[in-house]
Amino acid sequence: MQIEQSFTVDAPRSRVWTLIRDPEQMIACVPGCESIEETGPDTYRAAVTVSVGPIKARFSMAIAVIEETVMEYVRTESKGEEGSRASIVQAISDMRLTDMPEGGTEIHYSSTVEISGRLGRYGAGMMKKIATRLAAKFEESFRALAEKQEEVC
Amino acid sequence: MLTSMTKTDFQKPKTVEEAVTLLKEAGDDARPISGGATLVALMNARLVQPSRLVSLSAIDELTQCTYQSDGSVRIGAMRRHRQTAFESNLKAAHQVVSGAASQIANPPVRNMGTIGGSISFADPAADYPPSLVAANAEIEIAGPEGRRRIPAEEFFLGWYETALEPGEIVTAVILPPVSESSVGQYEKLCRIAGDFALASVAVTIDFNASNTVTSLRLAVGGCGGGPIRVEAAEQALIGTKLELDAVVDAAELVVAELDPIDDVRGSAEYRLKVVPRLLQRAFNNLVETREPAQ
Ligand SMILES: Cc1cc2nc3c(=O)[nH]c(=O)nc-3n(C[C@H](O)[C@H](O)[C@H](O)COP(=O)(O)OP(=O)(O)OC[C@H]3O[C@@H](n4cnc5c(N)ncnc54)[C@H](O)[C@@H]3O)c2cc1C
Repeated sequence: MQIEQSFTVDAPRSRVWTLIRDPEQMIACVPGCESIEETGPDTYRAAVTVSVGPIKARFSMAIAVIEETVMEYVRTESKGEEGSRASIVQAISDMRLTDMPEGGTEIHYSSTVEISGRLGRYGAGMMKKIATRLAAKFEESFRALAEKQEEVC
Repeated sequence: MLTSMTKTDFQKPKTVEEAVTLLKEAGDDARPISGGATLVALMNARLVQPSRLVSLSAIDELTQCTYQSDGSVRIGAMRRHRQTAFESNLKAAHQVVSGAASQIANPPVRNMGTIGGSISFADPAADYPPSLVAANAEIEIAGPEGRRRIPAEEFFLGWYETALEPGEIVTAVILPPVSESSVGQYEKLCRIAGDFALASVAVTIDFNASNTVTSLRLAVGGCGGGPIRVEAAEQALIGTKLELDAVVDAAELVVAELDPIDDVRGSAEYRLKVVPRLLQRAFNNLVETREPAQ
């Protein structure tokens, strides 16, 4: 499943970069994310819950930054398993930042996600809609965070 | 072999307040259970393993359907689909809701499933959601903070998500007063009898003495994350006599707002093709049911 999206925030690229590379800040933005801890240089472990109706899948995700150009681009690889269950999620995600001519930053995001197990039963069409909605929630929280911090400084 | 055995604690409170407290105590993994038609299937498939089940079936107020003095009808959350299908309190435009209830699944599921359970589960292809939006219903919700009411349109957020906050339950559906001249119609297309809708259309209409439409609400099911109301099409039909041209134009406005997916029941493209037909069928059937009464 392919998800692609871009949005702009009213904050300079340096700030956006600092935020997306700060796990503490990302906990509040990633929908369903309960914790992120650093497990090594550029590797993280995150607890993320994805709910679809009464089904709540709690994934323990291993996330690795596999490529980056500071201030511009980051590629991550994520793999998640759900305890003893046969639910697996895997994703390769790219995020690219560009300055907007009128100030602000464009965040372009694309991700290839594979889900199997409990959530896989919903079918690709519906999972894509659900993923797109989660992406929209991320955008909303991230924008609020980036623009709020701007005012404080 | 089961890899993890979690014990489920079962509770059967007598009041809404007790139910809310029991859910709150047990936290995230507690679930209310109404008819169990969906939840038990999910548990059997080990997709959901609640730590506590709070049955709503012994709460008296939830099992009632009452006609209120202001002409509104209050359908308790525990009312079974079969009861709602035959509900004598539902007249005129309210029949869009009994019509939807009568077309859900098959008799065993209609004997078991409840309106509260159905709308809380919020399957994108379920029958009640579009009918409740067309009927301009309100949903009554109880939670740790007390009770609140919201319009059906704001309740269904799409793709199984509702406006219910953690720990909240649906207690009733309230249908506003309707005039005697109003009518309601629910049309559903499914691949085989008893299946969820491939697409469905719900309409409520009121007319004046010369058969001109004075008010109209319209919602489509199975063609997006939740029921889709199309106000532009409603406006286009108000003031007409539902002439074929007007209906064809309105159907175009409806199709433009749909957001269907391809799934086992049919392709997105097919859904866009059948909705105008369902709309036409709803209006034809309405006119037929109205005429003998004139
Ligand atoms: C074979 C089959 C075919 C079906 N076909 C159709 C169909 O054609 N059209 C259609 O619309 N539906 C269909 N359904 C769904 C059916 O209508 C279910 O009854 C309904 O979805 C759930 O109602 P319930 O009372 O059984 O809820 P339950 O199974 O008890 O609960 C469902 C979910 O809602 C939660 N819940 C229950 N009550 C409340 C409440 N009051 N407040 C908050 N949360 C609550 C539960 O925790 C659970 O997560 C079908 C179901 C089956 C099994």
